[in-house]
Amino acid sequence: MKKTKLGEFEELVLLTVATLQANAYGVEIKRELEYRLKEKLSVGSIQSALKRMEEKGFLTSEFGETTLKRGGKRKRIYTTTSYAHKVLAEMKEIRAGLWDSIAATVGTVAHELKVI
Amino acid sequence: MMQPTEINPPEWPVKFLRFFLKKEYLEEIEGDMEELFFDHVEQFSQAKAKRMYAWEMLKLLRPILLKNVRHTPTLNQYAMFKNYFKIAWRNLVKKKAYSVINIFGLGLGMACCFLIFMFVQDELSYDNYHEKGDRIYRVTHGYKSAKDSEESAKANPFWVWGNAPIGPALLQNFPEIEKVVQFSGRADILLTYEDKKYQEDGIFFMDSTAFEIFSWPLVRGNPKTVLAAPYSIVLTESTARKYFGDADPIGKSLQGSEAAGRSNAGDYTVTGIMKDVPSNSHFRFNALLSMSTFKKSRPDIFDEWGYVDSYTYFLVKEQFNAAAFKQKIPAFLSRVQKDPNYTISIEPLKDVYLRTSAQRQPGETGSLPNIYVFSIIGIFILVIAIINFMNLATARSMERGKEVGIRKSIGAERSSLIFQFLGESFIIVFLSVLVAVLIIFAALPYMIDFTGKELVILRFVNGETIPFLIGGVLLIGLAAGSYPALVLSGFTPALVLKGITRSAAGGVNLRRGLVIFQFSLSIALIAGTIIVYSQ
Repeated sequence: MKKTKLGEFEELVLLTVATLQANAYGVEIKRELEYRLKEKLSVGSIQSALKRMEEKGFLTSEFGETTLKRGGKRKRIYTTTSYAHKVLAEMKEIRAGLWDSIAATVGTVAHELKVI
Repeated sequence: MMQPTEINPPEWPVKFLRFFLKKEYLEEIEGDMEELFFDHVEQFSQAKAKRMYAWEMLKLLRPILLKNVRHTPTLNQYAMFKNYFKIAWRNLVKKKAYSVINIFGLGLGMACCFLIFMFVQDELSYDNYHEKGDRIYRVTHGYKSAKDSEESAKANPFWVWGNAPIGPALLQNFPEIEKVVQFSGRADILLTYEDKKYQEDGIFFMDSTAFEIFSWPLVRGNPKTVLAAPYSIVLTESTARKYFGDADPIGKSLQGSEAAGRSNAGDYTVTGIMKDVPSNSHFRFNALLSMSTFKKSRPDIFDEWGYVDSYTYFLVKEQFNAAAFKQKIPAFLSRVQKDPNYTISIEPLKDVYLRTSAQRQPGETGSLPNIYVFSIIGIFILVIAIINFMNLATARSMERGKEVGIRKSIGAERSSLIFQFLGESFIIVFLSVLVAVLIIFAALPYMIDFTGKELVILRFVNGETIPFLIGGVLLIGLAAGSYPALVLSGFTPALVLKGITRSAAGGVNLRRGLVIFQFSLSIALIAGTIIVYSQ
């Protein structure tokens, strides 16, 4: 967990990339994440998260096709690496483990958390 | 395809972006931005889309996307800085005597300079606190003899202390004068309240206009009326505490003795409490008695042009012309009184402490030449300290030639060496500042004793002076450290490592020059002090 250094927002972006598959380029990622989080995001925040994760080895990317709207500029399609999948799975597991132990030890707290 | 009214995103943000962002990201991000822009055009107005476009562009300026910003340069430089500090510290510790002399010497110089600066600032700040100060003048009285006016001016100098009728006469004859305040010479009076008895010598009889002209804030009482009725007294806060402790003094009465030649004994009613008179006032007092007390006891002298016991200050209106006023004086005087030799002049309030030549002042006066002398001495002391610092640093620089040689052969650039040595001198200067602060705090009580001034450090360290003080410290660091830094960083590594220090000769000459200069300054200062002292 400590070695991976994946921030909360980065994790969300990474999951979005994984969801979008072949359509995972800047604008689409932004659109999808805005829809899910129900808040406005800036291009800058998405781009810096993508570049950071690319540096850390969670993502690879290559140029894709262009559309009329883009004035001849190509899209960059992002793909998650197998390392990213491993880390995401690990994080999910750690979280699930924590939730389980909450449920096991203090039932009331878990109940309260669920209510929240 | 191309429609006549084609909508395009604004150009400048793109240009801006191309300048800042990494080239390899440009195509993708520009494309994304353009796509978003056209989405926005469909959703919102064109103007809003353009605004959003520009704003988003600005928000793209993030470290990771920017050109030429490496992500781990700080780590690398941090190690270098750490090394600089380590070396600086080791050098200080290794040569303890040298370090102590250097730091203490510079600290002493700075402390002296600052103490002198405080003194000079205090002298210059006299009477600046009066809000209407630029409109307050005072009358000086003189006698001229018919012949040779220059010499008679020396024989009969002007007095600030003068007659009483001049005040009302000025007010009646000059519309440009708004208010006049007169007060007596310093009075001696015994004040008694129950079992507390004090002989008060810092007391004036003063007109009720005083609080409308001078900015002495009243804590209690109405400034217009506190000094109106006979046998009223206004106490300063510390005087009030002396007699009444924490009790409310307003309305209480103080039994007063006779003030010789001015008033009969009587009970004074406390009508007001004022803040203590600031220490930088050209005259100070503990309490004020109403002038009407004086008038009631000695009504005769207030029409007597020959009776001297009044100081006359006045407040003028905005468009007052001092030169024009002075021209009207002779005609005015011959109109209101008979003595043809009597004359008056005026002095603005800002000149009464340092630039007055009149005698019989209501309080102490300062001396402008003294201020110049002190300022020069302060600067000299600082210069000597800096030169001393430079000498010691240069003399020691030769020992560090090998270090420079090794650093250079490893690949240090000249600029980073200059940076290192300047940084070292800044560290020493910073330590000296700490020493200086300690010395200032230790010396301040003696300084206050010696000068009789209430010098409070906080009055001199404020928003206005802090930039100057910091600038001064930086300048000292730069002046003291620049020469060693430039000389040391100029060594040729090969020669230094072979043990030849070629640039030594130039350094010695400069050092000799500096030592001679330093000693001449010191001798001049010492000689000057001895001469002044023996005179």
